[in-house]
Amino acid sequence: MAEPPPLREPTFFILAALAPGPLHGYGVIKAVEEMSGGRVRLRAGTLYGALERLHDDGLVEFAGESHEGGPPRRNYRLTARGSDALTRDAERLRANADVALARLRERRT
Amino acid sequence: MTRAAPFDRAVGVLAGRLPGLDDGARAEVAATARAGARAGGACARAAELASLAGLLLELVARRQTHGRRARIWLQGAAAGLGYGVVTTALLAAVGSAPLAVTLAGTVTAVVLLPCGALLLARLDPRAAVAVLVFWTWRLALTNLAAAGAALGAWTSGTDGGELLARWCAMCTGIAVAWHITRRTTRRNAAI
Repeated sequence: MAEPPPLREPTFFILAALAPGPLHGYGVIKAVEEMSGGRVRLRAGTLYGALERLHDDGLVEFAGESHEGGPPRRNYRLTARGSDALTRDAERLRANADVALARLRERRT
Repeated sequence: MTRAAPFDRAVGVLAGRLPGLDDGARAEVAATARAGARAGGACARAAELASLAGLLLELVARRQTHGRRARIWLQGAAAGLGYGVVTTALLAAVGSAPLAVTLAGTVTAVVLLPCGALLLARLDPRAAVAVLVFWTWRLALTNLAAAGAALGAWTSGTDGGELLARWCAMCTGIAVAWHITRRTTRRNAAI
């Protein structure tokens, strides 16, 4: 079976934002901004476009609504498949980083 | 009325038209866009509106093609051919108009609108396919037969430089459209 393609960066961060537990859309945006040090700033259209794809592919699912003093907010959570995809991609990135760092160490010595 | 009121209305209009979502999901999208724009100024509001317009386009395309490459190609090719037929008829209709009018119409229909469509292809890959088919069809229809003669004339130093330049520009455009088509259809399959 072919290896699934790497996740795109916004998708990777969205899945990582949902890893600890369910979040609503704006919560995901804030978490992604924080995780990326402000480098990745998702807009609503980008976020929900990605969430729709992830939902269609079974990587995220709805997790009920929450009320935080305003209108009800819809929460999303990672599925087992989404958790696997995130783990696989994180390990791929770590392996790549390990290889690159080892090569850089060789260069210095 | 506050300054944000037109923005809120525009968000409501765009979110209300998102296909395939229930009312709760549309309200969630609108609430997120409003929250995202709250901290920023006019640029943040414009960016949120642009992203919602992009989402609308993307969801419409996804609902109509289900992300399947064959459907993207078929629907894009049909749109490109349809546009080609309409454009040819319109340009023939204004053929007797002053040169400036004909030229402006040709540039708009053959260059500017297709380039705009290529910019939107990231959201709807059918646009790139349509441009690819339209430009290829136009090259075949108007320039292909003359290309050999133009090349011969140009190499012998007599004439044909203008036609050859136009032919090269169209071939370049087709290559760019092909590249964008490949990228956007691949991107459409990725998550």
